[in-house]
Amino acid sequence: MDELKKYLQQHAPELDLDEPRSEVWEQIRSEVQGKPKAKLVMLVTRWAVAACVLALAGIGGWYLLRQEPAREIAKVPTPIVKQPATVPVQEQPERKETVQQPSEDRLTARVETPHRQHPQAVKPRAAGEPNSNGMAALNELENSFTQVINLQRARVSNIPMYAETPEYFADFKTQMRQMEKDEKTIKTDIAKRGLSGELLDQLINLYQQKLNILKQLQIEMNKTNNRFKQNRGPVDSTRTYFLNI
Amino acid sequence: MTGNRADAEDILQESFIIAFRNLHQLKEAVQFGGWLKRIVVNECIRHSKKNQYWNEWDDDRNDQMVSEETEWWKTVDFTIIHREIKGLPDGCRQVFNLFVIEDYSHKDIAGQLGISESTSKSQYHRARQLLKERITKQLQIHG
Repeated sequence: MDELKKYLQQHAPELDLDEPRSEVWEQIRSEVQGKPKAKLVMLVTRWAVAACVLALAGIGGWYLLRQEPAREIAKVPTPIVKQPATVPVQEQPERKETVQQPSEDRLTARVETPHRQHPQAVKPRAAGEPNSNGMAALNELENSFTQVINLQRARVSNIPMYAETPEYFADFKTQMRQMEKDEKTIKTDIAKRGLSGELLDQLINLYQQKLNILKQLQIEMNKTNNRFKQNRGPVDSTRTYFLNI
Repeated sequence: MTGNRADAEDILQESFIIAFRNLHQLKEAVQFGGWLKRIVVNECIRHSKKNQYWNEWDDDRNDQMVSEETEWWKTVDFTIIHREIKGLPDGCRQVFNLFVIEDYSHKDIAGQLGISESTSKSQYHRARQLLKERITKQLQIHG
């Protein structure tokens, strides 16, 4: 090995003569002690951002899940839900921001109507045709369809509209009213002539059409809202309204 | 390594801050000294690379100072050696310190400083020659 190198390495401590000034240690101390605070703030910020992202994802997921069953139910041709038709009514308090519609009374009345009508429609006025099994099946069918339709109705009624006016959707409303009249007629026929396969088909067909119309209405409403948001930017909450279908 | 107190203190401060910020990377507490020293040396090298422009040293001159005649340094006070090492010109001072004090090989020095190995060697020999000349001169003047 290089002799000079060897010699200096052996006496390295004796060459270590310079000491930093005390101010340097003070600066180092203040820098190092100041760090945890900054780190803490950064940590809190990071967690806050993560929490916000999770919350947003949660809200998004919840919204999607909330929308999805309605779509699926609308597509199902045969009714499967057997709970009482009071489910949509429970959603009423959410609609407080409704500007034009006194929604609570309207919805409650609408939801309950089929149940009040139903016993009268199938009650043995048709005394000549006492097919009790068929009537029970009809009862069940009507209950289930009514519930699905009411559910979809409530969904549509709960969509806040930012564009157009309720009149824009009047055609859907007219169709629904017409079908309600047809429904009454069919029920009257059943009451008079008894439950036949043809009448049952008509009734099922009518319920399916009702669901289709409500679905189309929902699509149209969403499209209208999306167009409005894309073309005109932020939503004016004071002009928001809900449809009374 | 830096040749002046201000730069040395800046590097020291920066090294301590780096060390404390990255303390979680240190696996064993007993290794702190060596770990901190590596950080300091790396910071010195980074400082040198930033501020140093290297001139290639003529390779022929290496051969002229190969074998050391006498061990002239053995009678010299360490304070003088220390002062003269600090007074070496930029470039050869860093190479001298890395080679002698930090025990880096010329290959390592070349890699770290971004110079050729022969430049590292020639800078080291230049440093030795300057040290000898300057210290000898001082001893002649002050006795």
